[in-house]
Parts: sequence; structure tokens; C-alpha cells
Amino acid sequence: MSELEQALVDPAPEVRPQNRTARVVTRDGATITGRLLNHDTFTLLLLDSQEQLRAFDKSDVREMTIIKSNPKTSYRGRLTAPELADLVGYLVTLKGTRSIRP
Amino acid sequence: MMKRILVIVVLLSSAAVHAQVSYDRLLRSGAEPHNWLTYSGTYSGHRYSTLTQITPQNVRDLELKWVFQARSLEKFEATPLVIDGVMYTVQPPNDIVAIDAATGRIFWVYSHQPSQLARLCCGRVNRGLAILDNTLFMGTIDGHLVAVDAKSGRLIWDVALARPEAGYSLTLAPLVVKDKVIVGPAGGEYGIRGFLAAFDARTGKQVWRFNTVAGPGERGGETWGGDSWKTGGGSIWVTGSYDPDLNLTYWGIGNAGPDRNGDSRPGDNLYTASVVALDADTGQLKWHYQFSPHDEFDQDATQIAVLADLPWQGKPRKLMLWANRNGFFYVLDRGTGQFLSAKPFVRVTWADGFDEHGRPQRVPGQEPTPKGTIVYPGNQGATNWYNPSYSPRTGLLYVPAWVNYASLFIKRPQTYVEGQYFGGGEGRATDAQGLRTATNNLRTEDEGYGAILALDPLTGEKRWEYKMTDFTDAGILTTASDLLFSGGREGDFYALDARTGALLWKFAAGGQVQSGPMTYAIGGRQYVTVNAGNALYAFGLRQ
Repeated sequence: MSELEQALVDPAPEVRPQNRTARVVTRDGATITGRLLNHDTFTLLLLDSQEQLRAFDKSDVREMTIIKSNPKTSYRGRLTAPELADLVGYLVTLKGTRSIRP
Repeated sequence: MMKRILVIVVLLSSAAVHAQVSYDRLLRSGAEPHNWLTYSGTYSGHRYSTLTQITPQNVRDLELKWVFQARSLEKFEATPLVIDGVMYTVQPPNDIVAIDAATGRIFWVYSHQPSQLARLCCGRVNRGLAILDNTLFMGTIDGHLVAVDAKSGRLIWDVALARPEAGYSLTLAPLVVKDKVIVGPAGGEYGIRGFLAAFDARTGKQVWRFNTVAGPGERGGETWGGDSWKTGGGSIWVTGSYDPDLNLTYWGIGNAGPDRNGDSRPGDNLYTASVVALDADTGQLKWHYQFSPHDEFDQDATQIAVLADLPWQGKPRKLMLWANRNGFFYVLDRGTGQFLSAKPFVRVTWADGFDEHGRPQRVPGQEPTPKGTIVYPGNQGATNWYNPSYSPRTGLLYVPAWVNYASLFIKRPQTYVEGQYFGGGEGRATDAQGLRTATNNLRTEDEGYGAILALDPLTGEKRWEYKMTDFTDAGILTTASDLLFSGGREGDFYALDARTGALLWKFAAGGQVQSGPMTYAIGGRQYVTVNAGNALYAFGLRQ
């Protein structure tokens, strides 16, 4: 089974570390969610849903969560074998751009 | 009291300029806190200073005074010496640099060009120097011990101890006791046969030698099967401690080889993963204690032996405090080696208790296998070579720790080939980010974290914990004003309240702290230094 097919029918329960999501609630109640880029004892850096690079001082946030779980749901039983093959075939054609490396 | 100490410091600073560092000064190094005369500050391994100008109240006024940028991209692990206003450190791999400790300007550089044949598991590192009279001593990564004039940077003698192509290297700061310089080689991942050796400080001639892997006919030789002693490991990474009253020098010994496959070396494999107490004049073994018999988890006992005189069960006793890579905190009688207590300071799964002699009781099934076994603590240990600190004021032992992480210990067949890795398997990280240094930290607390732990030495109880999000390879310094300085992989250098663990000050150094901080004074001004990234930073109070 190809890696793409496996990801569609049997997605891993957790994403790779570089694909983790962070959810930050600021003191004024704003919630920001994005891809975790880095964090240390004092700061957290992410790429938010508006594709803005954001930095937070942990002492200034009310709540901070790092989400490791994989939001993908399985397509097992929802697609026929030919449909799955078509989808994998399509996804293989997507070259995309080189991702940043956190 | 603080003023009085400062006055003494000023007087000593001006009176002792360019004085020779006699053995008597080394013995009484605690009496001249403006200097830092040995790797740990004193022979007792406390890395504790009686300087008190920087306090919990004013530490927020620390500012950067100067930076020394190493002309090297290797890990910068050396602790400097400071003698009467002159700082001596090692720019990796093996350049001795003499620096004006007030300004960071360079007096001279002595460069040793190590052989390209050197085989190193973990970088071209050096942890520092020793001094006696006007001579500096440095071990080199190609297995040499060199003596260099502290005034001119001129080479006095150069002795080749061992063959670098076979994996022998010197990464530790030497220990000077009386007229001898004591060192031992790293190389436990290359199947060396480790040793400790003392050299005449004037001539470089070897005076005694103790094999850390006991051979046939030697005491402990029966703990190795067949010829396995020939490649048994037993490396030396960090500087030993010394008790002048007992005339004993204490050294932690590294892992047995091959690291994770003990099939070829049946027995306890003395003196790997042990502490040995040697007569400083003769090198004769007085006692030993083995923390991890027949080690298969790479549990090098390469930590600093901390010597403290404390009441044990109501009676004064000469103790040795040891937070070990294997996850247990030990208290031993340093006169006899008697095991007094051991308590885990992180999660430990490979052993679950001790017999009356202090031998760990192994947990069945907790051993490396071809498929791998998950074991706590993980491959880098619960702590490692980076130094702890003991404060006689707080009575606490401070330990840089890797908390709550495991490794998958995998065993593989291993054949010895000179100069090639001799690990017998691997200790693979169980979380996706792994144990190695990453530019960006994405780790969560449940995957393990770095911490400073404050332990009560008499009970092993944790008094407080300062958590970091990433692991730490930084040592610890404490002072008589109850400050604690340390850092970590995150690149911050910080000060904590040594009594509570509260964060008081921090500096974003922009590079990992992979050394132990130290402190000194010039002209009544106290400095604190640390290496981070490829630079050495010196801090003092804002004037």
C-alpha cells in the first residue's frame, strides 16, 4: 500500500512533529490557531490560519495547547477501490512547493 | 558581610597579580573566590562560589560585559579558569586562549593541531584546563596531554597517551593533585580499554596508571569473559574530585563496550559504570562502587563526584553525592565506598530496588533486544556529563536532568574493528522529534523535558523543579547569595532562586548552553560567565 493510500484509509493517530498545531488563547480572549513552528520555556512561535508568523510570550497567554492528534478521518469504506486509486493518482500529480522546515 | 567579602576580594585581586598557582592555592581555592582555579571551582566538585555581589535582589541588573567569539563551530563545552584577572579557556577543538577577564581581549592563543585520525563519538570537544604554578595542562582529542606556559602560551611538553586511530581521545579538563596531572581517555563507543593515569607536572613522565577495565590478574579481572576486557570501554569524560584528608581522588567511569550488547562480555565488567577511589600518590584502588553492573544501556557514570560532609543518621560523615545517568541519586561513604542510599530522581524502569550491598535489582525483561525494549531513562540518561552543583548554604544538590523520556534499546551483533563504532545496537528515541538537538523545538511535556532538580541529599526528595520545554546539556553554578545559574538547549542563560527555583533573570544567548557556568571577580566586580553556541558571555552588574 502506498504512503498516500495508507494516509487516506488508515491515517496515523498523530501527525508528525513538524505538522503539530498550537492553539493560543490570549489574555484578552482572542484564540489563535496555527502550525507550531517552535517553542521554548518562554515563547511560542506559529504560522496562524491567516499565514501570518506570530510570536507569543507564554506569560502573556491565558491558555496554550499543542495538538498532536491527526484531524484526518479515514476514507475506508467511503471510496471504492477505483475511486481511491483515482484520488491517489491525482494526489501524486500535485507537486506543491517546497515546505519550510521547522 | 557582603562588603567584607568584596574588600577581601579586591585586596586579593591586587595582591596576587601574576602569582603562581601553587598546590597550596589549589587546596584552598575556596578561600580565593575571585579566582576559579579548577574545573569545578574546588576539589570537592561543588561548583559553588562564596562571591555574593550578585544577589537575588539585584540579579535583574546583570548586563553583558563582553563576549568572546570562538573561531570554531564545534560544541563549546569548556569551563574557563580565572587566575588573577586572566581567563584561560579552550576554543574547540584544542586551542588554549588566554583572555583579559575584564574585557574579553585575547593575550595569546596556543593551537594544538589534532591528528585527522582522531575518532570521536560526540564532537571535537574539550571541557577545559588545569593549572599548576605557571603551567596549563590540556588533553587533546588525538590523545595527547600538553603542558603550556601560562604567561607566554609556549609549549613546555607534549605527551602522546594513546592511539587516536583506535578511538582514544582526551576531552576532560585534567585534575592536578600535588605535583601530578591526572587524566583518562574518552572512547567508550570505539572499544577502547580505558584508564586513568598521572603524569609528573614538570616532565610529563607517567607516574602511575590504573586500568578502568580490569584485565587478567588484576582485581576485578574476573568480571570480564574471555578477551572482552581488551575492548571493554570504561572511558573518562569529566574531571575527578579529590579529598585531601583521605588523599583519595574519585572518578566516574564510562560505559562497557559494546554499549548495548553485553553477550560478549559476561560478568559485571568492572570498573565500567562505576566510581573508583584511588590513592592520589600511587593510583592504587582503595574502593569502588558499581552503579550499573553489566551495563547495556550506555549508562556512563561520567558525572562529577560531589563531596560533602553532612550528618548521616545523626552522625557527621564524609559523603559522596551522585546523581547518575542511570536515573538514581546515590549517597556513598567516600572513605569506604559503603552504599548508604539510592533513590530514583526521574522515572526508572530498568531496576526497582537495591540489595543491602547496593547492587541494583534488575527488572526482568528490561534489556536490549533485537526488536527493541522501551526503557526509562532513555539513551542520553537522566543526567550526563554536565555538572551538578551543591550549595552548603541551602544544603541542596542541584542536578540538570532529562525527565520522563525513554528510548528503544536495540541490540545488534557487534564485531570489533579498530577505529569503528562499537555500539552493539542503538538507543532510539521513542518520540518523533528524537533526542538530538533540533533547531526548533516542537516537543511536548509528555515526550520528556529538561529540568533543574533540587534534591535533598539526605533523603533524595525533590525540593523543587524548574522545567524547560527542551532538554538540557548545561551545567549548574550556585553562589553564597543563593543564586543558581544554568541554561539549556533553548539558548537561554538564566538565574534562579536556589531556595525556591523561581526564575529571577534570563538572557537569550542565541545558542545552546553546553557548558557549566562559573564566576569570578576583578577589582571588586563579580562576573558570571557561560558558553552558549560558539561564544563565551561574561555578565556583571550594571554600574
